Parts: sequence; C-alpha cells; structure tokens
Amino acid sequence: MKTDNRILLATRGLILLIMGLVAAGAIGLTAAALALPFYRSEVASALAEQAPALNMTTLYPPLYGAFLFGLIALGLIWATLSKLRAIVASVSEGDPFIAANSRRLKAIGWLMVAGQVAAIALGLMIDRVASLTGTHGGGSDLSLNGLLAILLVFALAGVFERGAQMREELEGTI
Amino acid sequence: MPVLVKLDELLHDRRITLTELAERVDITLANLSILKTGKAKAIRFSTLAAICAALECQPGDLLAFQPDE
Repeated sequence: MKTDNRILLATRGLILLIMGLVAAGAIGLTAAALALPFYRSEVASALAEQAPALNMTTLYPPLYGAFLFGLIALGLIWATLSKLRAIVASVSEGDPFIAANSRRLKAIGWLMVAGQVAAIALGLMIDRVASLTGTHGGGSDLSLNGLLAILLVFALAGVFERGAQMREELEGTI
Repeated sequence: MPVLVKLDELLHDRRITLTELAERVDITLANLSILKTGKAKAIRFSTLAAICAALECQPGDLLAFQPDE
C-alpha cells in the first residue's frame, strides 16, 4: 500500500532542506570557531567601540562555549531530523506501525530533551558574551512549546508501540 | 499455543489438498499454510465458517484445546 501524499512529499523536501541548512550552519560555526584565533585583533577592534574595557581572554570561554553548545544543538537537530525522515519514509511506504518507529519517536523525545538543555546552556553563553560585548543577548528560558512537543512525542511513541503490537497481531490473524 | 489447529488431519480425512481448500474458501494458500502449521495468532469467524462449510465440519473438529503442561 503506497501512500501518495503531497503533504508527505513536501515534508520530505522540507526535512532535507532543514538538514542542509543545519549542516551549513554547523560548517559555518566550526569555521568561525577555527578562524577566530587568527582574527583576534580584528574582533577586538570591532568590539572596542561598544565595549572598550573588553578583555579578549574573558570573552573566549563563553564565546567558545556558545560555539560548542551551538554545534551540539545543531547535531541534536540533525539527529532528530534524520529519525523523522526515516519515519516519514515508512509512512510513504504505507507501513508506519512498526516497532522501529516507536523506538525512533522515543529517541526523538530524548533528543528534544537534550536539545532543551543545550538551548538553555547556549542561551546562557550568549547572554554572557552579550553582556561582555555590550550587545543584546537572545536570553534563555525553558520553552513551553518545546516541553509540550516533548510530551506529545513521548505520547505518540506509546501510541506507535501499541499500534505496532496491533499490527503484528493483525498480521497473524487468518 | 495451547490451541491446536487440526487442519492437516481434516484435509487428510477428506482427501483434499491445501491448494484445493484455498480455492474453495477463497483464502490465500499462504494464509492457510500459516493456519495449518499453527503459526496463526488468531482466526476470524468468517474464516472459520468458510473452512467449516468447505470441509463440512464443526469448529470443534478443526480446533482443539490442550492446556500447557
């Protein structure tokens, strides 16, 4: 049973697009982190106007922390999207009620929990960098939408687990 | 599974092959084979009725309960 659904097709395209953007973001972030030591004086002079008393050695720990947590967050998003892609593929193949999808959803749930923690850590680092450089930080807080999404994903994992059991039972029914 | 499917014996008694039965009851040979080998997890009443009609037997002739030791 093949499902031909435009929304599904669009979802697959969108997932691939976001994965591409995440990969590009990770490459950019890594490149920036690697290049930063070579442009130390340029960065310092660029920030001199806003933060004249800035000591670059105090800026580095939170800045590299932000790079690190940013990369971790992007990695978590990538892992989540690749699992979502596998689920969408199984839906378009017409066989979504499988134990593998329940496991994937559970994994997505935990990845999202880790993502929330990484986002908070990233927010703290950005706030610190922002206060040091006299710019505005993004701020960090626990996202209610994120928490709701996590609960939804775990509930869905349970639904899929039961669905997979029912599917298996149906397969054995003559 | 403590429920035994005695399809093999019934077919033997009535001198009917599994393929012939599949044609009569309109159930795929693969599914009947699963039933015969005791690998089925459940049987629909409609399937049971079709097999009983084709083999002129009662459900009790097809199924037996043997408690686990």
